[in-house]
Amino acid sequence: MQIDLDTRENVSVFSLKGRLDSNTSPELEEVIASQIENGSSSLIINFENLDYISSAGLRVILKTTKDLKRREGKLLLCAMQDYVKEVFEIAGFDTFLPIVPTMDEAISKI
Amino acid sequence: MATQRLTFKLKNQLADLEKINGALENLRRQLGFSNKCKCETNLVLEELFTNIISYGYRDGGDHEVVLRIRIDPDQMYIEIEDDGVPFDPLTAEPPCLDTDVEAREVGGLGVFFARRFADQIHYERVGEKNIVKITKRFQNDHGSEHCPTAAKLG
Repeated sequence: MQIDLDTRENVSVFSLKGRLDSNTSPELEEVIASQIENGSSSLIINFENLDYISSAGLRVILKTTKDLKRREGKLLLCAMQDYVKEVFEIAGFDTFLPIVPTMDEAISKI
Repeated sequence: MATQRLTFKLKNQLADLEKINGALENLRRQLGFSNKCKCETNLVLEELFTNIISYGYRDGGDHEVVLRIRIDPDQMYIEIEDDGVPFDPLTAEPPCLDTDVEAREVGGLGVFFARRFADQIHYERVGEKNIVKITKRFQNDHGSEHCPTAAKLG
């Protein structure tokens, strides 16, 4: 998996490419945790080029959601492919996480 | 054409998830089923495989997990065999699907996904082995109504 981090006007945008599975999720967990540690509290995760996710990936998203909630931060997810979106919906994560169709919408809503 | 059978021997290490992905991607290219079908099958196998390597072995040693795939005209039939402690993943506690984020945990979600995305899933203990049998049908593959190449098999 490739993780690109772009910081624009206090918003950290993580763009994921490839597969977020049990092998690659610790890396994302680390990158996000260090960004939060450094004071970032508005995060967008761009799923446009993410082909695959498993429960290990959802665990990182849940942990991030909880960490940000404690700091009164904000997390927005955007541009999911059908399979990835289905996994979020079946797990019920769409009930507590804002998922928007495009990156532009994420930027305007955060 | 005869039904196609493939066997993969995996080690009890997370790195071998790549072998599962590689095997499914090769089959997808060869048979023409959708990426969605491949991802869903991959999810079922990853969740069961990571369960085995996380909870199946108490000796800290190297073990072999065998993956057998049979391609039928209308479905993939997959067996996962391991020599870990007796463990029926289907008896695992269901996950908490609470809508309150603070109450949510990810425990149990893996097996929940495996059950949800497999068309059939069955466990048995045979001698010293755990065997999970999975069926994934191509007709539930919304990306394409059937798997064009696999339909010629059998």
